[in-house]
Amino acid sequence: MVKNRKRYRNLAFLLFIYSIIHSACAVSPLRFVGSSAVFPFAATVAEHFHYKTHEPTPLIEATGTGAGIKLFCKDPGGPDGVMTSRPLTESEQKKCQENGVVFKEFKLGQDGLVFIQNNQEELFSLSLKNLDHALHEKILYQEKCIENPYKNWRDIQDDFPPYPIQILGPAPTSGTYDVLIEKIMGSCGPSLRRDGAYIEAPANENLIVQKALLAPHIIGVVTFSFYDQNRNRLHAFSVGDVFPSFESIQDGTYPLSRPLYLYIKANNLKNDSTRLAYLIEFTSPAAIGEKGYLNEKGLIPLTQQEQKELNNRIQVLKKGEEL
Amino acid sequence: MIPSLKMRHLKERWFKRAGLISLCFALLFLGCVLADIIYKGYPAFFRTEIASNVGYSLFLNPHASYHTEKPWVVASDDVDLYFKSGHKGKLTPKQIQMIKELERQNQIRLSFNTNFFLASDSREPELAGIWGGIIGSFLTLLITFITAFPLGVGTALYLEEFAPRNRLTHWVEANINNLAAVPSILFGLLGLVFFIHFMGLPRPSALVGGLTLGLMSLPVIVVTTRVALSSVQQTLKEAALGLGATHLQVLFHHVIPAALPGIMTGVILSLARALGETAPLLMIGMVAFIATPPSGILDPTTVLPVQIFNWSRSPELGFVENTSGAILILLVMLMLLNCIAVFIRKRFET
Repeated sequence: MVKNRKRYRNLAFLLFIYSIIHSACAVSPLRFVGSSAVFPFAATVAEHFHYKTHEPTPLIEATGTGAGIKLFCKDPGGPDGVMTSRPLTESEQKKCQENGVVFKEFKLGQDGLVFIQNNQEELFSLSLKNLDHALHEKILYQEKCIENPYKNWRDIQDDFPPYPIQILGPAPTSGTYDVLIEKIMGSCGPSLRRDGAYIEAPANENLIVQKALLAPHIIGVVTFSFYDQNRNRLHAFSVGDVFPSFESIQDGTYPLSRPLYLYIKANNLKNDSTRLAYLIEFTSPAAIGEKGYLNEKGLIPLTQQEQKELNNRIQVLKKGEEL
Repeated sequence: MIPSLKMRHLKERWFKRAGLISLCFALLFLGCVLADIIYKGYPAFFRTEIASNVGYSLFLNPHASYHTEKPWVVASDDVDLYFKSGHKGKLTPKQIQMIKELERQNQIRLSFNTNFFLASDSREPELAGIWGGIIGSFLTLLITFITAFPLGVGTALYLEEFAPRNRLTHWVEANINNLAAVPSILFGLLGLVFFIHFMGLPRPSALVGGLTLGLMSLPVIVVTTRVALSSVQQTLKEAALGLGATHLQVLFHHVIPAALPGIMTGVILSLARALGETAPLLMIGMVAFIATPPSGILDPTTVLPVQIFNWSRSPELGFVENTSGAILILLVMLMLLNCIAVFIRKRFET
């Protein structure tokens, strides 16, 4: 009895040791960090990549664009790539270079910010100036910057509906917030209002959709994929008379559109075939093309011209001529 | 002056009624939450399948082309939602007509979703499962148990039985009691700074998660173990000492066996808390998309509550039912752990 118990204990111990050794020897998968807007796309590609090549599924982390770039630029051994919803700034590029990180930039597609509302309400069209008046803390009034006095949509324009302004949008930690700030230029500084008309939701866009569905007067700000998945329950506002659609976001006429990027480390890209294979899968027409599987998920594809250029670059990379 | 007997009885009745009402309220809220989760979550245990000889690739899941040999193939999330709840989603009227046609020919069916239990995370709601999360939770809890149990029980034994009563030990005791009430996210911060930045352990691994949760459960284990130890009767110890046993013998032959049910209950309940914990794990960055279950404690790992968190943030409608389904499984696991705690207490008490 005692002997038996001892044997079991030894067995358990051996198993434990084995698991440690096993995990130490296992091939570490590719790692990508960055924007939560690109995360669903990168993860979808990761799965297809796994099924096609039988490599371990790459690890995708949604850390947010800024934090992702920091991790990416810290050292050449860190994450293999970073997903961003804006190009790298000059200071970030410098930081990367200082730390010996060589990278390549790939534009993957477009994304748009959509103002949504429960589809039982009557739709009205917003202009960028309306949004400036609805969102910013200080606005220009008779050549002077004053505290935002607008409480009600009707205050902004006479033909707007008569209910209070309530906009549920991203929090300052997300890249979506940066785009909102950047695209809707405030004439009196970029800070959004803090009197309760703009409500920051933590990085959970489903929550914004749920709130918009439950409370008909709340207007939410979400990325296009969330609107796309809930099309039959929500409607979207036109901004500056342009309706957010695949076409208008793709060609950039919709004012609140932004590009999505993948930056990938070019250190050892030639020797690291899995990293290259993942990149090839991500940029293949089957993924980001007009009828690719990422389109299903709400990614808005590049224009024909851009796709052609991207393909050419990938062809060159495949041959390993230029790095 | 003492109020009349009638008044005092009236007061008693009112007190009883107030208690009953508050109990009813609590049950009502619990019932609402459970009913909502069950109502939303039970469809996750079933999935729509289409006979593979039909050949409408549009209706199949996006990974169907990689494994084609099976007679029934999992349908895409749009078809699944329509078939289960009549939710049209992005389907065109023509496609709906085609699905109805398939239904007439018995080439579409609803079957038990074994995938939900045996597959790991996926971006496709119809293919996603909780196996990876369960394995990750198990490994993480194992590390938590290995670190927190011996340390916690040892600390409690020393403090209760051996430590001198002076200012220092009082100070340590007060701090442990305070630590037991510290919000869990602070332990996440500690784990981030100490295990990841200082010790350089691999980031989304069961080792770091388990150590962080171990830190979190340590004070709770110490407190409950001390309560259990101090509830052992003094006469028992004195009798053993009087018969010539050493302090250590008294401890291991009499005090610990008598206190064991209390200790085990405390440990299991704190493990149950660790099982359902998300905040510190988010802090140490265990929010990655991980589609392969971990095979060791250093592998990238996700745990069940974090997976629920991740699913709840996904745009696809199919993840709503998956989220609730996974919550149900988590609740069942927590209930099992609590049952074990009750069982152990009942077993050893007699």
